[in-house]
Amino acid sequence: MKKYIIAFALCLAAIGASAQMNRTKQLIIAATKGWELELRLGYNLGGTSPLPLPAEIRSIDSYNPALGFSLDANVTKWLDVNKKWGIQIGAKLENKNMRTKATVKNYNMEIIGDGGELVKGRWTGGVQTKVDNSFLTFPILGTYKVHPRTTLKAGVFLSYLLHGDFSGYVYDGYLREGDPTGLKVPYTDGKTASYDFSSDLRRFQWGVQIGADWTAFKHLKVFGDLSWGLNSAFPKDFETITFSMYPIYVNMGVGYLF
Amino acid sequence: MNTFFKTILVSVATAFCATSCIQDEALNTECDILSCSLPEGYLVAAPKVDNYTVTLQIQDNVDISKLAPEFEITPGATITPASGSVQDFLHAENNTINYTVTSQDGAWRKVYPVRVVQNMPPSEYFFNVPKLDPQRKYSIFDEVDTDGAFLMSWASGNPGYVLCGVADVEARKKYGDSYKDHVWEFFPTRAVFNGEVSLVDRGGTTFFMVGNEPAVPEYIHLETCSTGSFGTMVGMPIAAGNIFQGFFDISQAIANPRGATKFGEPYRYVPQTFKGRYRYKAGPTFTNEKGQVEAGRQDECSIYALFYETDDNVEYIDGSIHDADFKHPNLVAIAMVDTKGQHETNGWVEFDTPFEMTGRAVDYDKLAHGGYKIGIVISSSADGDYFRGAVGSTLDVADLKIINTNTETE
Repeated sequence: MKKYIIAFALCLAAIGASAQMNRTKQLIIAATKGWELELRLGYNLGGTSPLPLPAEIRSIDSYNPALGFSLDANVTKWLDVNKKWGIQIGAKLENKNMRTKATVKNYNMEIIGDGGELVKGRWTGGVQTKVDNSFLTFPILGTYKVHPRTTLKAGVFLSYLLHGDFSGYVYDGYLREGDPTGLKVPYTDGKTASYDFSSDLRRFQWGVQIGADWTAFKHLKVFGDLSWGLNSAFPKDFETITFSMYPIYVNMGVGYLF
Repeated sequence: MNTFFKTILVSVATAFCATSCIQDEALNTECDILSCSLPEGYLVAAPKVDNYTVTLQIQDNVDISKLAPEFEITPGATITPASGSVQDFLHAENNTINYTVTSQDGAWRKVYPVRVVQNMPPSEYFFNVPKLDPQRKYSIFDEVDTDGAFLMSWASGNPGYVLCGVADVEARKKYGDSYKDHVWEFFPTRAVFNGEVSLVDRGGTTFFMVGNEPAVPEYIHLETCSTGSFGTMVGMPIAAGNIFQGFFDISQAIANPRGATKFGEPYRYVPQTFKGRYRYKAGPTFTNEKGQVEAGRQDECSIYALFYETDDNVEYIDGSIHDADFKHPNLVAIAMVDTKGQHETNGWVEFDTPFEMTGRAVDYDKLAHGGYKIGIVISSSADGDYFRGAVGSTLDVADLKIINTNTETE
C-alpha cells in the first residue's frame, strides 16, 4: 500500500507543480469553463460487517478502526453558471481497515489447509478479525452547492482491491466438528486456531457514497463522506462465511482546492 | 434542500441502527448427553460418556432389569426415553437401550446407545469387534467374549486426528471419488486383516466383517502421521498411532493433550506379567513439537501397562504420568516393555514383561468391587504425546495378554 501512496503522491506533486507554473492562466481558463481540481487527504473509519448482524453474532467485544488513510484527487465540473449543480469524478487510494473481537454462537466455518485439508464445523466462542484492505477507488458523484461554502455530494464508487488482508483467529470457545452433533473440541487456555481468507476477497467492489464538504478558507476544505459497499467483500461461491460482508466506512479529512 | 440532506442522514442512520443491532439468540442446535448418573453404589466406575455412546459399568449385585439412569443433556434439548425412567437393560439386545436426544430447535438429533456392562474385564485381547465411528472415518475396537457379550472398548487418539482433515485428503489422493470407504486406512490407529474384509452397516454402525462374522484383526497397526497445517497451527505437527485402555477425552485434546488420554479399565485381578508381540520400524526423519527436524535422533515406540488404585481424587491416571517419569502415588504396578533404543526390530518380537510393584498394598475387597484399573498403553512414537517423533514410524502389536496372580480366586 505504501508504495502506491508514494507513487500517487508523486504524480499529484507533479500535477501540482505543473499547475503551479501555469497556475493563473490555466486555472482561470478552467474556472471560467466550470472546472475545479481538488486534492484530499483523509482518514477511513468504519468496518466490514454483515448487515444485518446474523443471529450467530452474540456480541461485539472490541472494535479498533486501525489506521486507514486515503489520498485522492478529484475534479468537479459545474454544470450551471451559478455553480450549484455539478459532477465530480475522482481517483482515490485508500485503506479500509478494522480490528474486531466478537463472540459468536454456532457460527458456521469451513477452513482449507495448505495441503487441501478441510476442517468444517460450528464455532461457539471468540473470533478476532483483522481487515487491512487497500483499494484504488473511483467515486462518481453528483454535487449540489447548498451554500456558498457547503457542497453536498452523492453517487457511486467503484473499487479495485490492490492488496487484501482478511484474517484472524478463534479463541476461548469450542468447535463442533462437521455439524452441531459432531465432536466437541474446546479451544481454551490460550489455544487459538487462525484463519486467513485474504486470497478469497473480491477484487471489484462497488457501492454508494454520500458526503459533504465545507470551504473553511479560500483553498482549504474539510469533508466527510460515507461509503457503503453494496456487494459483499467475498464472492457468492465463498461458502466459509455464510453471510455477506459489506464495507461501510466514513472518510473524513481535508482538501486543497486549486 | 437542507431538508433533503437531513432526510438522507436520518434514513441512513436509521437503516444502520436497525440492521446492525444484535439479534435475538437462536434456539440451541446441540443435542448432547453431558453426563449420566445412577444411585450410589451401582457403578463400578464413573460412566463413560462420549459424543456418541454411554457405557455404564454396573456392580454384579445390581438388578439391571430395573435401572433408571438420569441424564444431564444440552439445555433446551429433550431426551426419550425420559431421563430417570425405569428401563430393562437385562433383556435389551446387548444390554443396550437407545436414547434419542433432540436439540432445542428440533433440527438435530443424536441416538445414543446406552450400554450396561456387568461382565468381568478381559485379560486377553483380540480387538475382535472392529468398527467405524458414526461418521465412518476411523477405526474403533471392542472386546467381546466368546458369546459376543461386550467387555470393553479400546481408546485411541483417532478422534483427534479427524480434526486435522489429513486422512480425507490422503484417501482421496489414492482412491479418487470412492475414497469415503477408505478414510479409515489413513488414520494413525487401524487394524490389518488377514484376507478380504467388507464394511457392513448393522443398525446404524459400520462393522468390519468377514461374511457374517466380525473380522478379527491379524494385528493392530499404529503409524505416526503428519497432522498437516492445522495440526502444526496448534503445536501438534504429528499424531502417533496409539491404542490404550481407557478413554480419549477430546474436550482436553487441544489445551491439555496428555490429560486427554485417560488410561485404565476397571480390573479385578492383580497382574503379574504383560505378554504379547510387536514389530517396529522408526520413520526416517525425527521432528520436534514445532515440526523442526532433530538430526541424529531416531524414533522409538512405547508399550506399557499400568495397574493402579482409584479413589475419590483419582478416577484415571492420564498421560501426564509421562511428565512424572511414570510415577504416580496411586500406581500399584507397572510393566514397561523394554523398547528403549530400538529403532527397528528384526521381524516380530515376543515380550513377557513382569509388572514391577511400587510397594503400594492391594486392598482385595476393593479389588473385587472394581476399585482398581488396568491400563495398557501403546504408541508408535514414545514421545508422541509431546508431538515428537518421526512420521512413518510403524508399530504392529498382537496377542496382548495379562497374566494375573489371583485368577484362580475369581
